[in-house]
Parts: sequence; C-alpha cells; structure tokens
Amino acid sequence: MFANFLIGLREGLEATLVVSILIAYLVQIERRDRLAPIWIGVGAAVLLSVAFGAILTFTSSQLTFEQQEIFGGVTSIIAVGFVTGMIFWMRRTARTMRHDLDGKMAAALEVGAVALAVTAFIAVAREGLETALFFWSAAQASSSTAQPLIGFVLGIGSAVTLGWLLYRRAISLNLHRFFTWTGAALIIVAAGVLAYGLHDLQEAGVLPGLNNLAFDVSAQVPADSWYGTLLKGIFNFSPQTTVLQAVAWTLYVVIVMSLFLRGNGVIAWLRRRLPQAGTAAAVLLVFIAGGCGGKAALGEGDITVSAKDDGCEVNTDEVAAGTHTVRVTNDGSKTTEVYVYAVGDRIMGEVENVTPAITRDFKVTLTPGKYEIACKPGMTGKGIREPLTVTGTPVKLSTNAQLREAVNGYRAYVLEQAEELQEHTTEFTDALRAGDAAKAKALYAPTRKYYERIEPIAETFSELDVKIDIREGGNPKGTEWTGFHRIEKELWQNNDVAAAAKFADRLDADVATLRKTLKTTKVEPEQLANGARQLMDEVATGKITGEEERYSRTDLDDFQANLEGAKAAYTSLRPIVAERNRELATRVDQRFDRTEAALAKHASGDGFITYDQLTKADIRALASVVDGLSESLSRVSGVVLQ
Amino acid sequence: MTQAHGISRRALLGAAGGAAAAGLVGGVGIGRASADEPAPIPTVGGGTVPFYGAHQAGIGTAAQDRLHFAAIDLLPGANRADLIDLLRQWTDAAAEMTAGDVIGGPGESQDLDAPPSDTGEARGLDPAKLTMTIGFGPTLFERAGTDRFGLARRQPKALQPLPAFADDELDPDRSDGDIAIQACADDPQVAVHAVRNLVRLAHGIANVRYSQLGFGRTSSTTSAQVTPRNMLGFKDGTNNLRSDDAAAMDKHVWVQPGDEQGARAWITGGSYLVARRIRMHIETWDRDPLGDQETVIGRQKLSGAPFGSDDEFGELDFTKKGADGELLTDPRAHVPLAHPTNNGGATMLRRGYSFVDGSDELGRLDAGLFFLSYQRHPQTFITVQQHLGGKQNDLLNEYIQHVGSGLWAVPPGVRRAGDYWGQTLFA
Repeated sequence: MFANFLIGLREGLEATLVVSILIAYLVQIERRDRLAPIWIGVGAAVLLSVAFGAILTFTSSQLTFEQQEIFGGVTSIIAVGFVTGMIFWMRRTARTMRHDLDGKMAAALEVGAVALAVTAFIAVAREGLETALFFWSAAQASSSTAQPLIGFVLGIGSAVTLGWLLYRRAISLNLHRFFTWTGAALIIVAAGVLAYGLHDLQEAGVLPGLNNLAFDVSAQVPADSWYGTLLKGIFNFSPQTTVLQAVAWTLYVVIVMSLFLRGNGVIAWLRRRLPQAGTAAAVLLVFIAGGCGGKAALGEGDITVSAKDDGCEVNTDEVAAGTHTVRVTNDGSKTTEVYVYAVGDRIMGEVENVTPAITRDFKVTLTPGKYEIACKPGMTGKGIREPLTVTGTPVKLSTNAQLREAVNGYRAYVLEQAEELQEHTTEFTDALRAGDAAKAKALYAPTRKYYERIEPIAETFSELDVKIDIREGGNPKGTEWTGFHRIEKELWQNNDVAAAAKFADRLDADVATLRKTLKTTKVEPEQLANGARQLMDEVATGKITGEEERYSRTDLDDFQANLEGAKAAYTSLRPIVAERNRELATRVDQRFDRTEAALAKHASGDGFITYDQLTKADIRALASVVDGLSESLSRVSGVVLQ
Repeated sequence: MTQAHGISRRALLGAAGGAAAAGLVGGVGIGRASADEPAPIPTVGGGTVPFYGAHQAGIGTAAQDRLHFAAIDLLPGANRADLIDLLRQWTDAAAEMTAGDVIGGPGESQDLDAPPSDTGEARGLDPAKLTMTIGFGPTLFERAGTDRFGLARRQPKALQPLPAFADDELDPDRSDGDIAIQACADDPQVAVHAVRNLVRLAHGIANVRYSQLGFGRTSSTTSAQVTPRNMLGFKDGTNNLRSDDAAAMDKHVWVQPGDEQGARAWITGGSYLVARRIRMHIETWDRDPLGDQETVIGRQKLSGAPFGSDDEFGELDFTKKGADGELLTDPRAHVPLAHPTNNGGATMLRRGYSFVDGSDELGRLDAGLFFLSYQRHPQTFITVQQHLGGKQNDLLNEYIQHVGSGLWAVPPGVRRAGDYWGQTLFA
C-alpha cells in the first residue's frame, strides 16, 4: 500500500510539476484563456493512461520489457524537448505580453496553443502510462485491484496538492523571479527526465553502457526510502547513474542553463548565433521553432519600425482597421521606446526599453482614424513622429461601449504599470540588499515613476499606500514607517544603505500585494476622470512644494510620472470628451502641452534636475501651468458622466 | 484698580445691548450649581459679556465673529513675581476692555508728555461682546527641565505636550507658547485692540511667539446660532456641543473636582484649550466635484444635512444604506470619523475660526481653519485626532494639513474684582 502510494506520488509529481508551472505562468501573464489547451492535454493523457491501465488489467495483454523501456525512453526525451522549448517560449512571450498595452490580448498568443496542449499531454501521458503499468503489475502481485488503487490515488492526490502549493507560491512571485526560478527549476527537472529516458533506452538495449556506472549511492539513498522517492520524483535522481546519464545530464544543464541565464537578450542571441552554434543548440532551435512556432511571421498589414537616433522609419503610412503587430528594431545607438498614439497622445500601444540592435513586437488594435507612431531615442521628449492612417468604416460606439473601452484601456495601463513597478522594485531592492548605495539612488526615481503614474488607483488601497508611499510622520500610530520614503531617508539623509536594506523585503512584499490586489480591482469611469485631476493636484500640493521627495529631491521625476499617469487616464476618455465638448478637449490638450513644455525645461540626463536647483520663479511657473491643467481636467468628469 | 462697575457711555450702551440680547434668548444662560449667579449669554448684536464668573468667558460664550489669538513666551530672566504682576495687570486691563472701557478707565491720563495708557483704536466702538481668555502651556510649568516659576509641582497631569499625529507638518514657530490669549469679539478692531494692549503691557517680561487673526466663527456654540460655513463652503459645527446645556458642559468641558489632586487641583473649574492651525488646499478643493466634496465631508453641501435626509439636524446614521446596498456615508469621511459615536463618546466644544493670511509664494491662498477646542481632558482631542490623522484615515486629509499646534490649561474664571487670572495656580 505504502509502496503504491510512493509510486503514485513520484509519478504524479513529475507530471504535476510541469503542468503547475505552465498554469502558473499563464495566470501570471493573465492568459487564463490559454488554460484550456493545457487541461485538454492533461485530460487526454489521463484518459489514455486510464484506458491503458484498464486494457492491461482486463485483457492481460502484455508489453515486453524492452517495449516498455523504449516507450518510456522515447517519450521522456520528447518531453525534454518540449519542456526546454517551453522555457524559452515562456520568456519570449512574456516580453511581448508585458508591452501589449491596450488590453486586447486575444490575438496576441497565436503560437503555443498546440504546443501547450502537447506539452501537457506528454508530461502527463509519460507518467500516466508508466503508472498504469505499475498499477497493473501491482494488481497482478496482490491479486486485488482495490488496495493498490487506493495507494496510487492517494499518492497522485498528494502530488497534485504539492503541485497546487507550488502554483500558489509561483503566482505570488513577481515575473522576474518567477522566470528565473521556475525556468531554472524546470531545466533541472528536464535534465533528470533526459537522464531517465536515456537510462530506459539503455535498459532496452537501444543504447549501450547500462552497467558502466558513474556512481552508485543506492546504499546511502535507497530507491524505496521516502527521500529516495522524493529525489526521484522531483529530479529523476537515480542512485545508480550510468556514465551516459551523468554526461547527458551535465551537458544539458550546463548548455541550457547558461543560455537561459544570458538573460533578456537570450532569444535575440539565439537567433543571431544559432548558425554557428553546436549540435545541442541546433536541437534547441528545432524545439523552439517546431514546438513553439518561434517568432510569429509578420502578416500583411503589420508594421515594422526602424528606430534610429535621428529618425523613425515606418514601412507604411496606411493600414486597415484591426489588430496589427508592430515590430520595432532599434537601429540606433540609444535605448529607445516606440508608441502608437491616437489623437491627443492616447497610447494605443507601446514598447519601452528597447536596447540597440534588439527587435521587439507589440500589438495594437486600431479603429479607423489618424494616428502617429513616435520613436523616442533616449526615451525622453515627444519623440520623432510619423503619421499613420487607419482605413475602414468608422464604427460608432455607444456611450457605454466607449466608456467600457476607456476603462479597459486604462485598466490595462494600470496593470502594466503595476507589473513594471514590481520588476523595477526588485531591481531597486536587489541593489539595496547588495549594499550598492549609488545604484539604489540611481534606481530610486525610475522605480517610483511606475507608482506615481497610477497613484490615484493605488491610493484607493489606503493601507497598502501607507506602507509603500507614506512620508515621514504619516504612518499610523504604533506602526513602523516603511516604504520608498523610509528608504529614501536612509539613503540620502542618513547615508546608511544597510539601514535602507532592512526595508527592502517589506517593500517587495507590499508591492507584490498591491499588484495582486490591482488585478482583481474594478476601475470605474469616474476614477479615470477624477484620477487625472487628482494626479495633477498631487503635483500641486506635493511635488511643486518639494514635500514629496524631501531627501532625494527627485520631485520633478514624480511630477513627470504624475503627468504621464494623468495623461493616460485622460486620453482614455478623450474620444468621449472630444465628441461632446470639443472645446474642452482642445483646451485640455493645450494645457497638457504647456505643462509638458514647462517641465521639459528642467530635464537633465534621463531625468530632471533636483528640486533644490529650482528658483522661486521656476516653481511659480510650474505651479501656474499645473493649476491651469488641473482646472481644465476638473471639467472632464462632468462631461464624461453626464 | 479696575472700576468694574464704573459707568461709561460705552458701558451703558453695552449693558443695554447685552440685556436686549439676553432677552432674545429667553434668559438661557450658562449656569453651574455653584454660589455664582448664572450669567446671561448675549447672543446677537453688540454689548458686553461679563468678565467675572466661575469660568472664564470666551468658552461657553456664544461664538463671536472675530478672533485675535496670541501665544506669548516669557522672556529669559522673568521670574515668578514678574509673572504674577503681569497677570494682575492683564486681568485689570481685560476687565476694563471687556466692559467697554479704555484701559485706565474714564479717568485715563491725558498727560501730553506721556504715552496714553490705552492705545485708543477702540474708542467709540461698541464692545462687540469682547471676551478675553487665557491658558497656560506646559512650558510655563517646566521648560527643558527648568522650573522657571516654581510651578513644576503644580502642572496638571493632563497637561502634557500633544503627541505627534500622522501627517502633521507643524511649524515650531507657529506652535505652543507659554501663555495663550484668545480675544473674541464681533468687531475685528476690538479684538485686535485687546491683544495689542495686553502685549504692550507685557513688554520687557514677555513677547509674542505668534498670533493669528480669524474670522467667520466656524462653529455655533449655542442652540440659537445659525450654523456657519467654513472655508470649504460646508456648514461646520452642526453637531457641536451647546454651551447652554450646562450638564453637558460640566461633563465635557469644565475640569471637575477630583480630576486633579492636591497642588494640581487649581485647574478645577477650568478647561484645556487645543489650537491647531489647519491649512486648507483651497485651490485643489475648489476643483473637486461637488459629489466628491460631499463624500469627503460626509454631509450635503447646500443643506448641511446628512445623506438620506434633507434636514441639517437630521439623525446622523452612518450605517444607513442606499438602494444599491452601499453605505450612504463613506466610513472614511470626516464627519463619521470625528463623531463622538466613533470615538468612544469623546466630545469637545469647538470654537474655531477661519483664517486667510494673504497668499503664499505660489499665489495660493494661505487659508484654512484655526481650530480651537475646549475639553475637560486633552485626551478627548487626542483620541479624535488619532482617528482622523493620516492618509489612510480622514478623506479630508488630502485637502488639509495641520501646520500649527498648541495645548494650554485654561484656569477657572476670575470671580471678583481684585482677583487675577490664574490666581488659584499661585495660591
């Protein structure tokens, strides 16, 4: 009974690990709609296994030992291929998904559906068929089917529970860590499966060297002990490992892990280097291209942008209404970003942080009308702009549909910012933990901008806001002052990076909670209308007065982020405003322009001069444009909600 | 010595006005079960408010329209005798001014070779219900461990500096002070005259730490007064404690026998004054939609009525839900958070004034509420403010900021001519 339980646990774990990571991944990138292929694959594999078990049990037909081993070995190696492809596919998809701003992601994942189903199917079928075999032999031995069945079911149940726990843990991780850890873990698991598959083939006599052992620790780690079972279940560790297994395991881990850890540019690197790479890498390419479809081929009407330091070359100035892929290649020397703007700089889609020589895709769904494509070398300013006309018959949306579109667009923006916040926060807190004060100081304002952009929404969760963004003396009685401003004080005022680092983990956790909370938060149209104004009022009462960043003096960076956030909220509503009160729309546009221009005067490097470098006249000038903008924004909610 | 019962032309006018006013409210007065006669409370028009009594005037008195408030620091070198002498001079001057007299009385010297004893700008004006109220701050009893006036052992246990509240942005130059003077009148010139003359008398012994002008009383303190509006445009003080409810005043405002023991019992019959200079972000408030303004405050702007009612004095039921099942009043709105029912019954007498001190360097109105409250124990204020303060609490905090603060022990009233302010403290 216990042996059966362990077998069920071990076999179940192997399958559950892969499936739960796939599911966690899809949930992370908010592609729950893609869960179906996984479940289809899992379901098919379970059915097949049960059917197989039933046939074995009730027909007494029998596979030869060699046949079993060849079957197990081949399916294992195929599974390794799929899992490896999946690791890189996840990473690549994550990159494009993160920048798919407009919230219309339905068309964004045209690759991978079949691959997902097949991967899930193979992961489960491999173990399922094996389990069926084991079950059958156990039933033979005990001359009862009930006892072994209970053991197997309990074991598989435990495995699924463990998988579920892993899934829970995985979805609370941020994407950066999620990929690093699950990717690395998957590589280790896959290496074990590879070694195991090779061993099966050695047992079947297809491959030589079955008795040429690299090591034998079966005395120390008995295969039927609980830890032996766990090691086997998780890593496919075999106490008796052949030389071939050890070499294959090591080669696989070294090659794939190093490719994986090359970080963000891994796919681009692969694409450029593969022709010269060795056999192992060629095999990977086959998996990536075959298993996952590779980078989607551009279709007709898709847009390519060559972003240069002094130009923004677009392959077309006219496309039909619908969803298009925009492929951006940075052919310049500065890190760039590319936007598709509707009238009033409403962001339809964007990709940020494109480093030189890198190509990135994003999707836009465009209705007929006039648009602009803007390249922003150095990621500042209004950018180099090219017109884009979208043809087709304009669709008249109902007010509700317009509002829904505005809310969805803005909600996607908020989630995007929250995700960026989490990633940048990790980078920032890593610098703190590493004791790198200079790096932490440099990352402080660029990290906070993602918070400042969505402040009115984030502030609705006042308890979290207090933990993340409260200024000195603002924390409730009996609580510790934490968050960005605490770290700011330790870094700038006390010059104590070690003291600042004490708040790093808390900040990570609070930001993670915020993001998780935002995912389930409904956004109302009035929050958009008032959110834009509130952001400018934040500027008026906190940034213009230099109260917000009293130690780092990066108030103008916050100002810029508040302004961007206000614009994102406002431009989501702009089509409605323009339709109902063109004069107001024009006035708000104009005041955004004026405010941006007034602030741009103080730009310096990638950010802004510090607050203490502003003269009284500068501050007064900024205050006047902010008051003007905020005043015009205060008229928006009345127009939109009438 | 003050001619407390001296007759001047203005005193006559004032007395007549006071009598008329008392008649209007049907003789409702603030009374205590003591040997002292209940004093009538003038509520409308000019006239005088009696200076002498069991309690200082200017607390239970129906709130006048204007305020001049000053915080005074004793100078280095001033000793106990100087302090007592100053309080005696102040008491005499205050008795004369509140009675509508000039300082020095009708027989004020007209010696051309000496400055006049009264500065003179209130001559010919109605007394305008002038009241003068003083309080002693914690620093008077002990400052930085120094007992300057031999008063340390007499510091009431309740008189401890206020704790820091979330999001306070206090300016030390606009906070605290050894002695507080509150002058209230219906004529700003009368109030300013009163403070100016006390400060003048103090020269060489004490000087002004800061002072504050206020207008447009923001609270009604008796049932007969119409609820005024504050700078946010909302009615303020609808639910204030009414000073004509003597039992409530004893319960919530006046320090009762037994509250402090032995040497500290001098405060019995007095009260504690909290002042908070609350800057309002007027410009951003003015851009806030009406619905949000009402949500933030927790009452309707036009009528002052609670949600779900059209009567300003309608029942405040913060649990009332609308047709959609949502609470009508946001639990983080100002009114529910400050309400006694949500603060363990903490009730105080609010007596604040609006202020506008011109505009700041960004061209924004330097305006807000000079919050004044009287309570039997400072803990009342502390409880409420801890509930309100901080970004995560009162929604109104987005539009206001506390920039000044002070706490003073207000001695009981001067009972008769010849006594002086705070006499029980020095007895």
